Amino acid sequence: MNSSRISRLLANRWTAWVIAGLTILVAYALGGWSQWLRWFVLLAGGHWFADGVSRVLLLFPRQADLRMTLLASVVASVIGAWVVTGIFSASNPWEAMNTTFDFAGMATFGFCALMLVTTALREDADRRTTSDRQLVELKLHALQSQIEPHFIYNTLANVQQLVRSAPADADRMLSSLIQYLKTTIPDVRAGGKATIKHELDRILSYLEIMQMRMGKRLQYSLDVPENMYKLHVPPLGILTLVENAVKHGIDAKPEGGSLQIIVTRPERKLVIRVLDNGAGFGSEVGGGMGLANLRERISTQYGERAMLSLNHRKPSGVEAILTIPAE
Amino acid sequence: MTATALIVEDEPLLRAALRQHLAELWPQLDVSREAADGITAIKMIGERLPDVLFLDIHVPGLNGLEVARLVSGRCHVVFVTAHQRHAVTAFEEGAVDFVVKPIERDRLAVTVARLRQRLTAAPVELTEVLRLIEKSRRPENIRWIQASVGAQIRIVPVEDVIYFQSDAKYTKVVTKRGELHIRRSIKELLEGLDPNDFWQIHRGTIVNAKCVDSVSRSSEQMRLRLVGRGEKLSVSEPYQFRFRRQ
Repeated sequence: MNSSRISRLLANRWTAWVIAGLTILVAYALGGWSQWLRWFVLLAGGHWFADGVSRVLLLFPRQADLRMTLLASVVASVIGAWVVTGIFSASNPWEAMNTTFDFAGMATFGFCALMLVTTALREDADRRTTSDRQLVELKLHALQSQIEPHFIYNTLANVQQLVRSAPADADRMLSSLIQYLKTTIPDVRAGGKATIKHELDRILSYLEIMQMRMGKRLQYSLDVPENMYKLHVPPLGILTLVENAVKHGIDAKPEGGSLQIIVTRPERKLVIRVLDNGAGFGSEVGGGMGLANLRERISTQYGERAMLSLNHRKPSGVEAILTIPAE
Repeated sequence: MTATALIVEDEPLLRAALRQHLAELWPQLDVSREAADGITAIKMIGERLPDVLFLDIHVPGLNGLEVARLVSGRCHVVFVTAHQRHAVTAFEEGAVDFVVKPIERDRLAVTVARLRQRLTAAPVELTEVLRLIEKSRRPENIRWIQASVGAQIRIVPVEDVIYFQSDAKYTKVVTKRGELHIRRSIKELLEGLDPNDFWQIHRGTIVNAKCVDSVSRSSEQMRLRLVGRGEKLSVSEPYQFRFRRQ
């Protein structure tokens, strides 16, 4: 039997209950009703008590992972078995504390540990399946929202004209498009994390394309210290903010506008600000998934440690601030 | 007399491309005038009405459809778009012509031939085709709601909305994390919300179906209790069918 089959068998509460049932039956066969009752109290009471103790133990670590949960289960089982067998065999609870482990104690411990560990393993497996599914859905959304066919059609239409009027520029624009697609498609598929450097390359290829398309209507500047290039960011995250600023902010304004990307690292956080002086957030409702999707992604990835906020700027435009842990 | 054209397109290279193609395919057409946004386009049309208007649908200022509405019946319109589905709608209606970006020369030649014929007749009214294109532009369901709270812009995924309720000039959006106010009316919201997830229960109320806990009835009144909330929403007569036993 391979390990996954064993863990699947273990991760079934019924296995534990069957073992408990068999133990009690054997006890009944050997000692009659009084033994039956004694074992029932030992196993059920021990499990109930150990479960409570493990919950209390898990209140203390800041982030309980699987190892921590398993450790807590075992410790709680020892305490549970000790206390319950003690209470049952002694005349008063204080005396119980001095009782040593006998066979009943060991059996109670074994049962409690088996129950708690199987529950922990099963819950972990459930959580993993859910987050895997979420990740796949998010990747799919990212792919759909990021590479829009009309972005490619419009860019190619520009290249087509440049081939006739300015072949060198056509070459430059095609290179940017290739760079953009090359860095974007594999990352969307892979999910996970990208470095700031990687993300900047992609953003620059996007901005170069858009600047050739929009001409003087788009200005941009980047302020990203080189010593932060190796830090990690959610892939396509900053690009989503940049595309939003260009598409809904700057391109929506006849005279265009300018875009700024500023990255700072106060303490152990990474703060990415994308500012524009475009038309501002026009619509009240939308079907685009970019921002909502990004928010969901950072919350899956970093939990409470990440934040995305959007502010109005004066006289016009939007400031998007993405805060994530610097790691 | 030579025919005149006005090209409305925000991307300079695409403007140049269209102008060059037209100059080759239709040398007699005057293509010297062009606009990069909707507002400039309207101004130029006001100064001198062109015979033919090449109109990109996505332009800043006023969009192409709004410009088209203003010139409807006054000049011949050709839509230029990168969105195939706009083109299909415009084409099926047959009232206007369209060109899809990137421009194919052979396809543009067909458009030019048709335009030359049409020039002898009066320009058609575009109201109907514009309505259809407008409709085809919004096939997407609403995915998020945006509202300003002071200087902050809050974006709420539509799943997090518990209910929408009209409130004087505004629509109140009640979410798990507080209330927002937007200008969009209940009627407009209904067009974009998925009817399986969001139910209208009153002239001025739309509720998220997932947040409905139970229904209570007393004589004529029907009220909804919501999951995890104190207030009850009343269901008016026309919408009660949803909660009646079959």
